[in-house]
Amino acid sequence: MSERWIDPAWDAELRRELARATSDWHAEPEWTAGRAARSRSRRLLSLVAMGVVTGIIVVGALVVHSRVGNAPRAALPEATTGIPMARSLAAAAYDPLTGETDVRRPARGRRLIGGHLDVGRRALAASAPAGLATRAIRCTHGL
Amino acid sequence: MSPISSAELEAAYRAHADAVYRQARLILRNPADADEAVQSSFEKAFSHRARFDPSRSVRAWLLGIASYEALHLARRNRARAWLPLSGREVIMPTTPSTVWDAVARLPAQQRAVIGLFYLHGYSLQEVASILEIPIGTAGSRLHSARRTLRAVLTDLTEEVTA
Repeated sequence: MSERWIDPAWDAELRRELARATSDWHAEPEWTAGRAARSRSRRLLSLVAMGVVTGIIVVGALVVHSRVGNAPRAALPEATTGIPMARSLAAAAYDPLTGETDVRRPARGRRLIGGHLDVGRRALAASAPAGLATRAIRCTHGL
Repeated sequence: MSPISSAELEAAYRAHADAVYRQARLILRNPADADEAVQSSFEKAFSHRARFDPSRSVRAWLLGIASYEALHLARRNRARAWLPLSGREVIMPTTPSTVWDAVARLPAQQRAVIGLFYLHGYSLQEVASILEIPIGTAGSRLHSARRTLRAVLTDLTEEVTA
């Protein structure tokens, strides 16, 4: 590489000035191999602790989800549980807190789209108890 | 068995810690970050001591690790700079030296080359080997840094004499 424009005197001056400007820079604190090993152990320990905490949170969330998620479904009318769309409509109308079927719930919480509505409506009308089917169908029409 | 023992590494710290710190601080421009870079450099050296090549100088090996750690930290700091509550600010040099003021204006990668070449006295070939970059890249960074330094130092000198 061509460095003809560099003046050796300028180079030497820069070297001296840089050495002078950094002469009072000193490393601290003290480092030892023992401290490095301890620091690595601490890091490993904190990683393990983070893994355990994450595991507990995930397992806890799965347990809660399985209990809360299954409870209302188990309480649904027998006739609706075998048909996905009917189960969906009934589950949407079912209020797990009161144990009652609330026809306004689907409008708030669920949305049934397009051709699935007809299939579900027919399946529900054929298999579910009459009262629930009627309420669910009316509710999907926004009544 | 590692090519360099824990005791030898501790001895290397005592012998070269200041050089490693200067290289880190030259790149980072900040004493606290430089301390952090030195600590992490020696921890890296300790955990990767099996990879040390005995045919190389310990000092050059440590300066290479320190340069890498400091450049990594500089990139991380730059990425955090846009955060309003990061607690990190752009720290301008406080040492009353025109040369240091000029060097501090260079990009971090050029500061790494300048440090190894001017401060630690390595040849261009050695600088390239320490930073694990092609010699052409090292030469280009040195060339750009010199050009910028020359311009900045000329300006600073004119300001002082005016």
